[in-house]
Amino acid sequence: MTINHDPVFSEIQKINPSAIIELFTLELVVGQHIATGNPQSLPTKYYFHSGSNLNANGVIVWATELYQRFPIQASGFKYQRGKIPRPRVQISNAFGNMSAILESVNSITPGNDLTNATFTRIKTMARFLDAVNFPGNSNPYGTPDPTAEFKRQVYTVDRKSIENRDIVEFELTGSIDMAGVKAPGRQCTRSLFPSIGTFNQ
Amino acid sequence: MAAFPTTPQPSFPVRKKSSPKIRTIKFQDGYEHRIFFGLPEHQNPKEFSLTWKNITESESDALEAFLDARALDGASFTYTAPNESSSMNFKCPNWNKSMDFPGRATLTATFIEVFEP
Repeated sequence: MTINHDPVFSEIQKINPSAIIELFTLELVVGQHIATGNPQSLPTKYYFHSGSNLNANGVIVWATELYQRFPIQASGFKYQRGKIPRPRVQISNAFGNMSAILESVNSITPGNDLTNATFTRIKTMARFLDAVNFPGNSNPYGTPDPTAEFKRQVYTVDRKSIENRDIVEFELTGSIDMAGVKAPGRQCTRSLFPSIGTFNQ
Repeated sequence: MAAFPTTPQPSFPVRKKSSPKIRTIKFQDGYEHRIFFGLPEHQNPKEFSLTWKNITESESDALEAFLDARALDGASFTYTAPNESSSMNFKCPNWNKSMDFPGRATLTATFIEVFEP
């Protein structure tokens, strides 16, 4: 997958830049959220966008991937005082879809609640969307470019903070900020590798 | 998707309200940034205030029965508002029926555009 930031950076500097399109993916871990080997062929990746496209209000297509219409919002991506941000994502649970996913996940790993799933926020602009999103299969805003994206924000689900009839809320965290995860992953001492500490002469 | 009955036509005046959900950042010297989040066409839902003045009781029952059915199934409906060239998808969050004279009724309704298939 190639991502090219240049088209979005030059677009955002215009007087009237193209609209920003926010897309989300939630990727489950086979063996942790889905039975090992995925015998039931369940989806391992969910695609969400909080809106519909202009072609008969179908689902938004970005880089040929279909992003389901689903009320979803995420906030808290800002970095401050050297801390890794802990964004929160709220997903509609009005139809019970998220509860159904959580239930199936918890049947594989009890009490997991999607912890360790990868949540990604993708931002692009209306003028780079696939032509199929628009009436007559042509993008009136510009030329489709499936590589034009802002930097992807990849986070890991840390915990489920709310689950009720209206919404499910997850707290996200950076992949090295998880409970019980240390960086570096392993400490190496001179007993394992005798030349440690002898290089900086 | 169900279509809202075309007869009787709503009475004038009809009010059409637009308020695009554009994000504007402007500080005191006046230059501002404007940007849409999401497809611009979908950030400008139209809101119609419609009135059916002094229609007969049976006409108003037909309109109300349609809106009641949409309240039950939660679906949106298509309607071509007065002086509009094409139909749009709407929801009707609230409507009022006032019965000022025997056998006659006045219906007022708010139609808000939604973007769904």
